[in-house]
Amino acid sequence: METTNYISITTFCQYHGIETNLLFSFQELGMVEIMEEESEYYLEEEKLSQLERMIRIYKDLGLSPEGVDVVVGLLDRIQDLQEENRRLKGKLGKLGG
Amino acid sequence: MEFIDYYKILEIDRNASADDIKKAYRKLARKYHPDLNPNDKEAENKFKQVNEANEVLSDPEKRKKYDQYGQDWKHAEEFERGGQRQSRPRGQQSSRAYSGHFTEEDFSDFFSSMFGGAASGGFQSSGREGVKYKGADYKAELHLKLSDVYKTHKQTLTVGGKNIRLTIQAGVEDGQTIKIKGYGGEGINGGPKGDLFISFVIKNDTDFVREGNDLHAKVSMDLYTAVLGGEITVPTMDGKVKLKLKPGTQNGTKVRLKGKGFPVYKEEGKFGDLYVTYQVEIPKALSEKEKELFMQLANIRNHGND
Repeated sequence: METTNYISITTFCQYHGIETNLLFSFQELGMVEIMEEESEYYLEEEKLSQLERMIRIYKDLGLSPEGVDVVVGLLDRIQDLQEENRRLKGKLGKLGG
Repeated sequence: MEFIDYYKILEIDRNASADDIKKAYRKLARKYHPDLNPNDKEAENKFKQVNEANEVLSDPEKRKKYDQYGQDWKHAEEFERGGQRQSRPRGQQSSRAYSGHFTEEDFSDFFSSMFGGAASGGFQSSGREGVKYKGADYKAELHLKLSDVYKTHKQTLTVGGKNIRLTIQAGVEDGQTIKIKGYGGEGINGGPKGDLFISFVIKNDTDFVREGNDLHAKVSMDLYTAVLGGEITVPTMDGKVKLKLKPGTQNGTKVRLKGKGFPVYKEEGKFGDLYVTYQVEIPKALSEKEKELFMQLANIRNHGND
């Protein structure tokens, strides 16, 4: 049996001081999934940290939602590359040692 | 306490317009944003300075105060006296991860003594200082079968990494929501925790139709039992029962089996009723012999026993 926690977007937006419209713009771009139930909208709890990163980038850098999407995509790629780089360095170290 | 040149931090001159300040802030924020520079302490500190500078210079009142005072920094005893707080030791950097919310701690002592603590308007954490908020309420769905909720049982749920042993009372209804206090999100600024709301989604895996605490079922019987009477076996939630049938039982007859329905939520030992509707099956594809006998029956019915 699996349970998922949902946070209402009203609560989320109040806490972050943002308009719910922003989340719907993100949703249109496929950046976030919003569930609808009984005319209220919810976010999955485990996706919140990703979404919060998008909101920080949006607010602090004054980017458009599209811009945020690009940045987040690139950041994830950098992170993957750094991870790969770290692994390869580890392997090289073993070979050298 | 060291004077901080906010104009220098934002790389602008003293005559910069509000628009210049905004542009400069955006440019530097893009450069030093912690999300774009993960695990880079230096960038994080730079970002804090840039934010502090923007906090002051983008607010006309603060900027005015800063400009008046900043020029005269060397003779700032008066200001020093006015500063209510003691300066904290330098180098006491907070090491927590950037969460998108700055607090008083994130601003310099210079800022604190000049503007009396953390941001007071404009910035994202503004006004939230000291205000307690209840944590977010969580919402979860629990999928159960109707046969599961016929009896009270226990289930362990994992919500937010915590195990909750939950007693599911017999008779819960589809769509019913229960509140579990204090199992929601953490409170903000020491506020109480949110609550967990669990909605039951109950799938009917039985042949009964549930209406409140009552159950409804259809039971088929052959024509002969209906005409002549007899016994039929009727399934209920807790086993089968035998029912006596009167001769001449009509199709669609409804009988009530008291207490054979669904348990009443939170009323131990109390049950709804089971309503059984009889469906008489009319024989099809008759043999010649059967047809003959039915015709005889029909004749007797129509013309009397001759």
